[in-house]
Amino acid sequence: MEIKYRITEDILHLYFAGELDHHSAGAVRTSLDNLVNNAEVSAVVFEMKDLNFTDSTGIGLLLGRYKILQQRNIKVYIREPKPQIEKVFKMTGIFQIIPKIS
Amino acid sequence: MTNYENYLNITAKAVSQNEQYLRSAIASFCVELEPTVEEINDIKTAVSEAVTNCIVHGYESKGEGEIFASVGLKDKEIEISIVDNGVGITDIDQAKKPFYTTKEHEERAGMGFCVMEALMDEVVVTHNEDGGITVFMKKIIK
Repeated sequence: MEIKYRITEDILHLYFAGELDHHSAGAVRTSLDNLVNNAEVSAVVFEMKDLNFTDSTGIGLLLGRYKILQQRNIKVYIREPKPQIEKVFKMTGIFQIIPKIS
Repeated sequence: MTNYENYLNITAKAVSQNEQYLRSAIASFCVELEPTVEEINDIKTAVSEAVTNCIVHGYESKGEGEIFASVGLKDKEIEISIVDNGVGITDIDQAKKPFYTTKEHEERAGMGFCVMEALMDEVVVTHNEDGGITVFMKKIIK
């Protein structure tokens, strides 16, 4: 699973595509951390429009990135998750930690 | 399995690339009962959680061992079993609690059983006599 990115003003947009599970999580974690560590931004947006699947592994991974970014005072948001992913996120309460924006 | 109208058994090596195959195969098999897209996705997500548990916890990510996945269809009911012969779970009730994980350093959310229980109509976790765990799940198609 490849993570594409775009920086607009001082916001880093990270584009998720495909299926994020335990198998793909290792590579995704490495590429996210490389992008995030080199970015001088005030906010990071997880762009989820093209993410077709995730489970609790994905939640663990997103919360892990949130913890790192929070320590650097960088705000984190989730945008445009598909209905099933939104359902899983809602039931685990992740939006209370990483807010969903439109 | 003979009391089902249709069933499928899959034995897979407990390696992470099989997570996608197992959840996709089981979810595709259930299409026969004409579930909604949401119901299919619920099954796919719950199976993914159970299979990941086998690989990460049952077989401790050693890339050895086997996962025995089966799905049976009867009327509007889907029954799925995900079985491993791994190390088992010391305390099943504790393992089911939200945010409980034995692998925090690996960024496991500790939400696997909660997700399964939220998405399926029934989830029963039992120890196998000869070691390992069986996760039995039922989904009733509305």
